Amino acid sequence: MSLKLNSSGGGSVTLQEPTTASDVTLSLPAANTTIVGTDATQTLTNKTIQGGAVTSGTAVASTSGTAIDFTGIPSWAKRVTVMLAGVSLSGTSAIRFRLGTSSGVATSGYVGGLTRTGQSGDLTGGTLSAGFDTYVNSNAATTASGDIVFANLTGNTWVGRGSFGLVTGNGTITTVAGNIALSGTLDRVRITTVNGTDTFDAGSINILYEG
Amino acid sequence: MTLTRIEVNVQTGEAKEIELTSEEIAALPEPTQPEPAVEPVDLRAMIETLQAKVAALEAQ
Repeated sequence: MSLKLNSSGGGSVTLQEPTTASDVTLSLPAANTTIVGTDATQTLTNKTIQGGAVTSGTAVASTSGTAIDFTGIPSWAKRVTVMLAGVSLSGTSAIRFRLGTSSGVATSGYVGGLTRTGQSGDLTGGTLSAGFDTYVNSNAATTASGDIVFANLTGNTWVGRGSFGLVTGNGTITTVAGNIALSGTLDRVRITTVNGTDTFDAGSINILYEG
Repeated sequence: MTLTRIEVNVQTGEAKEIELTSEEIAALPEPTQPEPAVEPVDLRAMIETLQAKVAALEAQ
C-alpha cells in the first residue's frame, strides 16, 4: 500500500513500498536535510567515501630525523605507495621500510630479497628480515628516488615491491620485494635506515593510499 | 647527538618531531662496517693480457 502526501502546490509525493517479502526499514535523518535524488547532479557533503579513490598524504621534507612515520592509514586501505624523491642520508647506511600497527612498527618477520644493478655491475643480492631494505651504498652523497608499493594480500599479510634509482655519479637501480604478516591492522609506514642512526639530510617523501 | 623521528598523520596532516626514547635507542642495531666500495675492473686490459698469454702459449 502506498502513502500519498498532497502538496500545497497542487502536486503530491507518494511513498511506494518495494515488492519484497521481507521487512525493510527506511531510516530518516534526525535533522533538517535534503534527501539526495538521482534527477540531477548532486554534491555530496559530510560524506566519506571509503576506497575507490587514491588519497595523497602530506609530503615531508626528509631533511632531519632518523625515521619518518606516516601514521593514521585507514583500516580500509588495500594498497599503500611510498614515494621518495632525491632522498639522502647523512651516512652510508641503506634506506629501510617497515610496516606497523597501532601497537608499533614491526621489526622482524620480513621475508624477501633485494639486489642492485648498474654502476659497478650486478651485486649479489641479500635477504630481508628486519624490513624492506634498499641496497647499502658506499657514498653518503647518494640520493634515492622511486617508490615502493605495499598491497594487502589477505588479512594482515602485505606484499611489497620497490625500485629506486641511486644517484652518485653514475646511476644504479636497487630493487626489493617481499612480504610480512602483521599482528594487526596496518596503520603506519616507517621509512628509516638499516643502522637506525643515520639521519635524513635531503629530499622529500610522501605516500598514497587507496582502498 | 639527539636522535629524532618525524611522525606525520596522513589524515590530519599533522607533523611532529619526536625524540627517540631510551628504549628505542637501545633497540637500534649494533654499528656495522659499511660495505667496501667495488673496484672497477678494466675488462679490455684483462682480455688483452689473456690474448697475449694465449699467443705466447701457441708460439711455444
